[in-house]
Amino acid sequence: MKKKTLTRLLAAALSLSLIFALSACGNNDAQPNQPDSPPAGAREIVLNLDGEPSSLNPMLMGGGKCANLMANTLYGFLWRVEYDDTLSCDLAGSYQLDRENMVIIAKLRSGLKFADGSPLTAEDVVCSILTSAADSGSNTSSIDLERTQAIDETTVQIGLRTLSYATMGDIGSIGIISKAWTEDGSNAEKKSADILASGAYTIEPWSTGNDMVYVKNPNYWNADKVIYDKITVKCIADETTRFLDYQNGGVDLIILAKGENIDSVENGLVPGTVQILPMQSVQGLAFDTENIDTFKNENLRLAIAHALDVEALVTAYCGPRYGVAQSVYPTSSPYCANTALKYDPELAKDYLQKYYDETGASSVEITLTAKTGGLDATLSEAIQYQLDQVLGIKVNVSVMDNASYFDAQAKGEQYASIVPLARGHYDPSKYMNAWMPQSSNSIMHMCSDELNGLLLETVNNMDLTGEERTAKLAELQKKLTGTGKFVPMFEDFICFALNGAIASVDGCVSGDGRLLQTLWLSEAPTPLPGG
Amino acid sequence: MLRYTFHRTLQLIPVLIGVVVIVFTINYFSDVSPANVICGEFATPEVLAAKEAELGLDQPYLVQIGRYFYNLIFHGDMGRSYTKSVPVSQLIGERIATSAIIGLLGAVVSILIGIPLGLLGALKQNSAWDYLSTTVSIICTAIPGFWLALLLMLVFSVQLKITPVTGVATWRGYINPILCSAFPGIALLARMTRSSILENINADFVKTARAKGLPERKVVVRHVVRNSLIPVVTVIGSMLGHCITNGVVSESIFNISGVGSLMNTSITGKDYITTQGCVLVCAFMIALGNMLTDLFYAVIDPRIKAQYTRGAGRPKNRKPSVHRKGEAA
Repeated sequence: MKKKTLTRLLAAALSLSLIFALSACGNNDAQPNQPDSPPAGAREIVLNLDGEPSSLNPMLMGGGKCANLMANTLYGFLWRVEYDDTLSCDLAGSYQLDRENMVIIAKLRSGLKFADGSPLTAEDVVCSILTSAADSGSNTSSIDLERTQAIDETTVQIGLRTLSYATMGDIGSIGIISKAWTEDGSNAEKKSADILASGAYTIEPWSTGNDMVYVKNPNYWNADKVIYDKITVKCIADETTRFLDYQNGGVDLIILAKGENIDSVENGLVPGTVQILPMQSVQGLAFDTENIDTFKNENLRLAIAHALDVEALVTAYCGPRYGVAQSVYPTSSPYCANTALKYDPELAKDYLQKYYDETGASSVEITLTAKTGGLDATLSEAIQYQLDQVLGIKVNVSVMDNASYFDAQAKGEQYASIVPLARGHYDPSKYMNAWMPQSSNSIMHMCSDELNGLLLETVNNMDLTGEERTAKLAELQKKLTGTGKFVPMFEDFICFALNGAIASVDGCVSGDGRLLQTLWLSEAPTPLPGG
Repeated sequence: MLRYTFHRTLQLIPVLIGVVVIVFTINYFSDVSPANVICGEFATPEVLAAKEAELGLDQPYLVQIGRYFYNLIFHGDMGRSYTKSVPVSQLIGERIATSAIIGLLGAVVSILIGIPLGLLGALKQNSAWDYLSTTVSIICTAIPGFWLALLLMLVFSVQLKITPVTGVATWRGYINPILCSAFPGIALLARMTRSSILENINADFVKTARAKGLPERKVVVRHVVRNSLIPVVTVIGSMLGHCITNGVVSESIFNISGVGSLMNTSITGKDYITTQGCVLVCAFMIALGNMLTDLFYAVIDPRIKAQYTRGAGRPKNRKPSVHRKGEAA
C-alpha cells in the first residue's frame, strides 16, 4: 500500500477516534441544563447561587449564600433563631437558662440520629462546641468551655462566661458534627463522601467547582416535614452567567443584585417573577476614630456628614433596589428612629471652619478604603467628588480586594470606609457587633467608652422590657450618628427571581441560610420551649 | 538524538526551580498573612499567632522554602489550600484533565482552521480570499476573551439552546470554551502561516521544483508547506504549552472547574499556596511545550536532525589541514 494512502487512512482513523472519544464524554442523553429526571413523585428544586463554601466542615465553610445554605441543610443545630428573634426547635427539645450559675441546660430530643443511622448524643454536641471554639472562636466567646459538658446521653450543660442578648443565637449557630467522625483519622481529608450530616439533607460526593446536590436525609428528626427530595445548587460566581443560566431554563430560583437583570424579569423580558425581601442591613460611612487622629475631631466628622447628600448618592449610584438609610437600623426595624444627619452644605462649612480654628490646619486630606466589586468603590468615588465640591477636602480612594481590606482593618489602616452595620440578623445587638468586641470591623471599635458601656448595658441586661430596650438603643444611635461617627448610607434588599416552580419565598428576611430553610419546611418552625 | 532529548529534559529542572523560588519569594514578602485568610476577619492576635506557628509561617525564609522543596520533590506535596483546606495537588489533579481537554482541543481547532486559512491567503495573495483570511484573523485577535465567552453563551446557549450555559457535564458543554480557546490561536496561526508561506513560495528551490514540471499541488505541499512549518510549529508548541493558562477567563465565565478558574479564585482569595501550585504546573506545561517543539524541529527539518544524530554530532573545531607540497589534500 502506498505511503500516501497509509497516511490518509491513519488521519481518518485518528479523526474517527477523536469523534468517538468526544462522544463518550458526559451523558449524551441529558439535555443541556436539565437535571436528571427524578423518580416519580419526588420533588426537586434547582437553585443558582453565588460562590461556594470553602469546605464542607461547618467550622471552615466561610460566609456567603452557598455556605449558609450548606450549613443549614446538612447540619442540625440545637435551636434556630428566627427572623422575629424567637427561638425555634431543632435538635434540642427544650432548654433551661440558669442566670445565677450562668449555665444553659439543653435537652436533646430522644432518638436523634446522624445520616448513617448512628445515634446523635450530647457528646457530639459538646464536641461540636469545642471544635467550633478551636477553629474559629467567633461564636464561642461567650461560652465557658471548661464548664461545657455532657450530663447524660441527651443533656448538655453549656457554661457561660457572659450572658447577652446574642448568646442564644451564638450557641444556636453551631452546626452539630459527629464526635466519632471528627476523631477518626481516616476522615482527615473531610471528603464529601464522609460528611456525616445531622440536618435535613445529606450531600452527594462533591468537589469544589461542581454543582452541589443535596438529598433528603431520612434519619432527620423532622424528615416528614421536609418538602424537597433533592436540592441542586449551582455555584456560579458571576451574576451575568447566573442570569443567562436562569434564562436558559432549568433553574427554579436565582438571587439577583443587578438592577437591569431584575428589571428584565419584572418587565416580562425574561420569564419569572421577582420577589424582594428587605435584608435587615444598613451600610454606612464609618470613621476610624481609634487609630486615625484626624477623625478624632468631632467637627471634622460632622462637616463630612453634613456635606454628603446621601439621598442623591444612593439614587444615582445604588439604583432603585436600595433605600436611603435614616438611622443605624433598617427602616423595617422597630428600633429605627430618624437620626441621620441632613445634607446641609453651609452647616458643613461651619463645622469645617471650627475644625481649622481648633487645630490650626488649613486643609484636610483623608483616605477612603473600599472593597472591589459591589457598590463600595463606586460610592467611595462619588463621596470623593462630593466632598471636594462642597468642602474642598482632598479624598484618596483606596480600592482593594477582600483579603487586603480585612488585612488593612487588622493593621488599623482602615481610615474611613463604608461598612455593613447589620449581620443579617434582627437582633439589634448584632447591629452594634457587641459580640465581637475584639474585631476591628466592629462599629464599637469606633465608639467611645461611654457609648460602648451604654450598648453593653442595654444588650447584656436581660431584664429590660422591649420598650426600655428600644428607648436605650434609640438614645445610643442618636449619640452615634449625632457625633458623625457613623453616617447611615443605604439599606439593601435581597431580590429573587422565581420561575414559577416556587410560588413565593416567605417569612425569613435575614440570613440566607434561614431564608432558604423556609423553602424546604412544609410548615412554620415550632417555637422552642424553655427559658 | 536521545542525548539531545535527555539534555533538553534536564533543562526543565532549573526552569522549574527558578519559577518556584520567584513565586515563593513574592508570596513570602506579601503583606497579607495566610493566617488572616484562614482564620478570617474576626480572629484575635493570639489565634493568628497560633495558626502561623501551626503552618510554620513563623519560620525563616530558607526553612520555609527548603521544607516546600522537600515536600514537593519527595512527597509530591504542594501544600494545603488556605481557603479550602485540601491538598493543592488534589485540587489541581481534579481539574487538570478538564483544562487540558479544552486547551488541547482548542489548539486542534486552531490548527484545523488557522493553517488552511493562512495557506489560502498566501496562495491567493491579494485576492478576495486573502482579504477574507486577513479579516478573520484581525477579528479573532481583536475580540477580547471575556466578551467572546459571553457572546458564545448568548448565541449558542440562550438563543439557540445548543449548548449549556455553564459546566461541562455533557460533550456539548465543551463547545463554547473550546471555541473561546481556539479564536486567538486561529488568528495567530493564520497570520504566521501566511507570512511563512509567502517567504518561501518564490524561493529558488520552489522555482526549481516548478521547472522540473511538478504539479503545483505537489510543489505547495511537498516543498513550500514543509519548509514553512518551522515558525508555525513554534507557535503551535507555544499554544500547547499555554493550553492550561489560556483558560483563566473562559473557565471563570463558563463556571468550569479547571486549573484556570482555580488560579483565578486563588489569586482573588489570597490563597497563595494554591496560586503557587498552579503557577508551577503552568510553568511545567509551558517548558514541556517548548521542549517538545524543539524535538519536533528535528522531525520536520532534516538539517536539524542531522546535527544531533549519532556519529554526526556537532561539527568539531578542527585545525585546518596543512598540505605539504606534493601531498594529496
